[in-house]
Amino acid sequence: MFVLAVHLRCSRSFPYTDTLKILQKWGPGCHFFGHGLDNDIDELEKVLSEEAAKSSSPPALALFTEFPSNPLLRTPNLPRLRELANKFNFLIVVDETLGNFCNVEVLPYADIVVSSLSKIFSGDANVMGGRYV
Amino acid sequence: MDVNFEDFYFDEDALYMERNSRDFARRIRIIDENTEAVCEFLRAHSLAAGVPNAVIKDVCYPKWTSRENYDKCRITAREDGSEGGFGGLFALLFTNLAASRAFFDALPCYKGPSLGTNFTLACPYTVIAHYLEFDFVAQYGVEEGLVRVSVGMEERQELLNAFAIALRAAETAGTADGAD
Repeated sequence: MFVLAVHLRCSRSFPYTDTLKILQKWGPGCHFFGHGLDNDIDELEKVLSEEAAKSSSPPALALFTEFPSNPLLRTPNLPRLRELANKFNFLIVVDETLGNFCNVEVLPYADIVVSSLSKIFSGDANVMGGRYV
Repeated sequence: MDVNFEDFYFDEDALYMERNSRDFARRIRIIDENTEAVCEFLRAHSLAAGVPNAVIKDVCYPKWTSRENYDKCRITAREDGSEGGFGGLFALLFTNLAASRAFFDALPCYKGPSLGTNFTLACPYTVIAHYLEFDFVAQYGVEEGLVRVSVGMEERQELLNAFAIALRAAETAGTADGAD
């Protein structure tokens, strides 16, 4: 999934439930691309172009995505999202909790990488934490 | 960031987190291999693999789901020369709810919300996270009968035996009652 915050945030592919709820509840609003399939990026590009035409400020604040997503384990085309982020000047936030940094390297394509240290990084389910890079 | 950052992480939490995470790389390798073995077993009994009358529709797991996109960021060579794996989480989609419920009920592992534990943990994710919005999430492929599993570090054969038990129960219930 990815969620785009225009003066909005953007979420792409079906995310962990709270991710979308928080983006929808707080802030200026968001576009939700819930399938997280490659043709969603075509739709995303269309939305970005339309929003960009309305104003001189960037059409989106940030795009939130997971690598891979919960619960369907889908993965976005990060290089292509990076191209759009560069073209339209928004941030990409990637949650790599499920992929984790021993298996995948998403920093080259993300502005911000987040993950839940409460999960397998800890493993014992007896402490909570999070990280933001 | 410097202006807004406040370091209020509880000291004992920091100590536990550091201690728990020291062998993260070693644990991930075991979990990756366990998960891959379990997923291969389950997929071999699924419609996605071409098994007729299977009760499992598909196994959602990065080895097959959006594989090309996952590989764009997969680590090709870690310090020890091994490739990055596919992680410890997968989800099962069933052909009917009876099979899903029987599978989950019969699976001999810990059950509850959350994921990413050193022990195997399963949950009926859609029921837990989207109980009031089944129709909304179904349009995105998040089915009511989805069972999500976070695989742990148990002995591999023990895990495979556990999932075989659950699969047998699902096949008995799922083909007896037919589609919901």
